[in-house]
Amino acid sequence: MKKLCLILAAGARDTIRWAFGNIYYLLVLAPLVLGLSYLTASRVASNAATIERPSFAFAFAFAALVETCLILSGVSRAAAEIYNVRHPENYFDTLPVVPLTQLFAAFAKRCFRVLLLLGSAFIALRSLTESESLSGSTFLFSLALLVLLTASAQAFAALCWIHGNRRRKKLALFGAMIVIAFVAALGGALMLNVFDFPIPFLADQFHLLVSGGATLVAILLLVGVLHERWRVFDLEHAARLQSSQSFNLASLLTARLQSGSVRTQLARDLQLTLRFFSAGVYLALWLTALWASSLFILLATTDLIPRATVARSFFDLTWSPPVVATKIICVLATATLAALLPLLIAHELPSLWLERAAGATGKQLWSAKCWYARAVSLPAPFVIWAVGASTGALPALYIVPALLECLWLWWMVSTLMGALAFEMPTKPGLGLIVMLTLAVALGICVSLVWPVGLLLYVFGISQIAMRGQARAKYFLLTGED
Amino acid sequence: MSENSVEIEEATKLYGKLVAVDKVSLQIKCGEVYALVGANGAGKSSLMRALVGLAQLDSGRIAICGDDTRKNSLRAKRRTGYLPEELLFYERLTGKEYLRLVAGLKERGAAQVEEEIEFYELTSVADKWIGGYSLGMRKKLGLAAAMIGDPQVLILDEPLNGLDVEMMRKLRDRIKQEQERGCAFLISSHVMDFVERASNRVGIMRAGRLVAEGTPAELRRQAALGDAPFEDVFFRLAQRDLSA
Repeated sequence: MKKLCLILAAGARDTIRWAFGNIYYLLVLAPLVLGLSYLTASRVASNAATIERPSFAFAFAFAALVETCLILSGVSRAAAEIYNVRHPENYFDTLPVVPLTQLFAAFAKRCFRVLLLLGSAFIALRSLTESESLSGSTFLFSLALLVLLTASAQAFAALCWIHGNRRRKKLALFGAMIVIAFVAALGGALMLNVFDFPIPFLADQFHLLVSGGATLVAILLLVGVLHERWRVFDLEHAARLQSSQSFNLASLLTARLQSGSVRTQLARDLQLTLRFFSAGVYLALWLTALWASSLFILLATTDLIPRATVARSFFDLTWSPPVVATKIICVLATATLAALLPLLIAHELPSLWLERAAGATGKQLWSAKCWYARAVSLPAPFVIWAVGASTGALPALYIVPALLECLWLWWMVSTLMGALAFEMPTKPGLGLIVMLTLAVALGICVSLVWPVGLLLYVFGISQIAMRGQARAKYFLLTGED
Repeated sequence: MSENSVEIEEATKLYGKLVAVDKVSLQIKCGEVYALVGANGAGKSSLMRALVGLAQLDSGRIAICGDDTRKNSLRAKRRTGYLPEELLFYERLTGKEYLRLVAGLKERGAAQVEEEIEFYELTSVADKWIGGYSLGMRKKLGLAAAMIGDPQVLILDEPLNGLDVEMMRKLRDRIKQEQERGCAFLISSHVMDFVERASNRVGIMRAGRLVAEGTPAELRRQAALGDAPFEDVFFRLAQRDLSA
């Protein structure tokens, strides 16, 4: 217990000192960006107040998907915490510290991160939607259970990911996926319970909480056993996971795009993405699938978006609800995939000396990242357009122009996100917020009035590009934001 | 207790199809300094990582002071101090805080922390964040952390990188002191002069195998190089294996 406290105290002290070192970003910039986002979202939410409460099936599926995304988004970080990959805690493996103490330390960190995320999300959602939620001890118990369940599922998924990758046992991986799917479903139900959403097949909340508690105990026991059995053998594999395979598809993709340094950097970046350099890649793919399925549900199964039956002219079709919905979803999907960029830059920071030593210029660095944002998000316009077209909601006359508009939106959103890549390269979380806020806002605006985008692009992009290149050059020279 | 502080029997470590350590057997007696030399990728660090429990052998056995590192890993770790090749610290802890943490995890008091800080000449930076340390300071901090708790076996992976000449000499003297206390050393280094002067026995590794072993004088005789620099002895013996 004393050793656990020592490890946790050291980590907490390190984190708190980091926070004091970044006080400007935490106290000024982040609240500013989050505040603006909150105001925008609250406005949208108040306008959408007339929408009826969704059916249980829809709400449950959505909550389970969100929980799955939550679990997957933490797998990479959980693996790094459990196996101490590139962490100072790596040294503790050589000291007389029992493995269970290390597991507890990693789990406590995971719980704290999940609590921060879920707690903020619940506070924001409660105030935005003014929805009813449980009160008092039941709410706290449900939330605590959800946090613990999510954190333990992340730890379980991390252990299975590393071990399954080393032993290549597909059956075991399949079993792990079933367990995670079950936990995600239970987590989704708990989420609904926190918002006091009625669950038809449950007589009272007690049954849900008991089954959640029992599952938590089972998962924790499973994690403890797997940690004891696997970790010591998987330690090295966890550290080497990212540099063990060869894949040439990325080189093929980039062969004709650019030349020299940019092409080489782009090929490496795409190669890292194809090798899933972070669990964020899984999350981005999952979210993109979520956007696509949401569009399909909206257009094909609900009446929320009226179809464009009568149009005054061909040009009016760009404002018909299904076309606008398709374009907005295209913006969101493009931004989701391009959001991998700050994660990639953070991932590459320790090896950026290579670019410096090889004499890469700021322009080349910026250009490579810009092309990366475009390349990685390229599937979005095609997939979203195909989904929109497959529902039959898009006017037949406007099928091809809709694709062109999607491509235009993809180009603009991905270029903007790429151009902002070096605004805060050492703070990927904040960088992500800034990039997404600007790109999504601009994308949605342009999806409503596309000529505005044309004007903005022609007059604005060169300024943003110049700034981006200067930021990249500054970052190359100093290594600072 | 066993006479040998370290016993390695037929140790084999594989990375996929690559044999990093190939049936290596060696023993290090109490108070003995054993130096492992070899080119990059020869398997030195893999063997050391297996000794301290950061890697698992595919076959073979390792015992520290008679304790099997698989069966009694905690007891073995209590007797071992380790300096890794790649040093990772909490960047925002001070040197003193870090050493106190290590002392706590080794179940020792903080008294030795001050001694180590003084010995490694870290007093002036002990209360500063590790993030601002130079390579040499980091190496000294790593050495201090390894030596806290008076371990019976010290495993030092490239201890000289980043150290100045004065500190190298000081480290050599410290190694002698610890030897007299009965501490066994396993050191990997590319500085042949240090290896020859500090170690009782030297093992030359190549492609995962231990290709030559003996005291520095014995290795000189094997290589038939009387007064040549020890570097030449190393090359001769390593190449002999290549041609064999």
